[in-house]
Amino acid sequence: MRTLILPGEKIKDGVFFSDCTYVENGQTYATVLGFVENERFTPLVGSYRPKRGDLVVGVVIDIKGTAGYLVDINTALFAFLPAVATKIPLKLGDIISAKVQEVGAGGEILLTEVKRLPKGKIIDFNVKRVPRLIGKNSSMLNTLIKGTKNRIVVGANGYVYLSGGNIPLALSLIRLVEKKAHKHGLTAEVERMIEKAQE
Amino acid sequence: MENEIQLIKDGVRLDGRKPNELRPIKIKAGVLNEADGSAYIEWGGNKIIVGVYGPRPCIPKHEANPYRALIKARYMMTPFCSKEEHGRAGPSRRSIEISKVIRETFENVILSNLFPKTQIDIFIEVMQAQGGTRTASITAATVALIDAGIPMKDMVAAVSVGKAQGELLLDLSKEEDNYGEADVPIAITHRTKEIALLQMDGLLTREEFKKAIAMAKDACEKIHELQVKAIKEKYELLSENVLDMRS
Repeated sequence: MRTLILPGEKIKDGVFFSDCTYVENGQTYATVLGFVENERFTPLVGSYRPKRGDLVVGVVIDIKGTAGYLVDINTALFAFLPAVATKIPLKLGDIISAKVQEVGAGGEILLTEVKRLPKGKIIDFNVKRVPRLIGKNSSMLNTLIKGTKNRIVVGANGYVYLSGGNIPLALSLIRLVEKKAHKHGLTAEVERMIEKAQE
Repeated sequence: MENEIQLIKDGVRLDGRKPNELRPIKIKAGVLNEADGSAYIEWGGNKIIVGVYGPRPCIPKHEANPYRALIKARYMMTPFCSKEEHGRAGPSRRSIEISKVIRETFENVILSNLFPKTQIDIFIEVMQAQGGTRTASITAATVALIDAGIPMKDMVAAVSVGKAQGELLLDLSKEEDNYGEADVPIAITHRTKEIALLQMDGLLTREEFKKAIAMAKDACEKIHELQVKAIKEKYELLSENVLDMRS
């Protein structure tokens, strides 16, 4: 059973730390709108909060001389990619996938393990529903890749990279997943839609 | 002047309300496409739209705080919002003051330390005013902030209490505010019942003041329910009845 929780509402007695909660007098409260199912709190809204080790998709938006690059990864502050982390020089507007190496106390984000992605489409997906787009053992993502013949890279930051295949179909399917993220049996529905489109 | 306008007659106010009755309130969440979060409120004759953006990079950059996000509120009245002169658009003495108190109200509840060097913008446009716009703005801004997913410790609801012809009145209308004896806007957090905003214009005795706060607390409970309803209406559609909604 799912219950809707509003900011400041008690999730349960006792302390447990997670994203989007805070603890006061030994009890845990929500800080954003979400729901509780099986004693787990799932936020419904909110922006991306970078964590160490996240795989993100980003766009190079500034070159800081020989030091490195500024990358837009859907956060309020741009991430910094040191030049030593890339073997090939990047250009403005290049789409990359990278790992978050470190998040500083002042909100600075350092990137590493960079891969440059070929020209493609980048779309903004609701961050809180990214797990649904990937699915259990990447089931949803694999269905989408197989069905639309696209190369799809899903960043933990909510940016999704698409290239090479049937982009309009992929777009409509991704928006469907975003809209119905909290519904059961979504992978089956996506499969049905892919079959329909192929006929 | 008191003889010119009779604000209360046989325990009924000008608009037919009882002394402790709120005006009808309607709130809608998520009315703007481009804002991160938004809300629209109709509170009696007040019509207010609120848009929330952020966290986003702090502009100008030198204002950025390395420890927390800045909260910026901008309360603005449209030139056509009331009978009085609000002439050209732009900040006035009054709107700067209200922006400040709204900002300070939300500094109490927003967890701004999670987003260093950024800012959170709350834009409030008053399209029609009929007394009590600052309390209505705070009520609507809370809904917009939740819609935007800004982490908050608590929800805030606000209402004004005042005095006219020696009687305490809840939720003052424009006439009661202009010709009454006192006006006390109060914002109260829902869970902790803390006072997030308290202003007073005019005079009240100590007993009246205590009674005013008690009246505001009761009214804020009712307003809170409407805020919750507004958010549920938006997110019920999203979840397509998968969520078990508590009524």
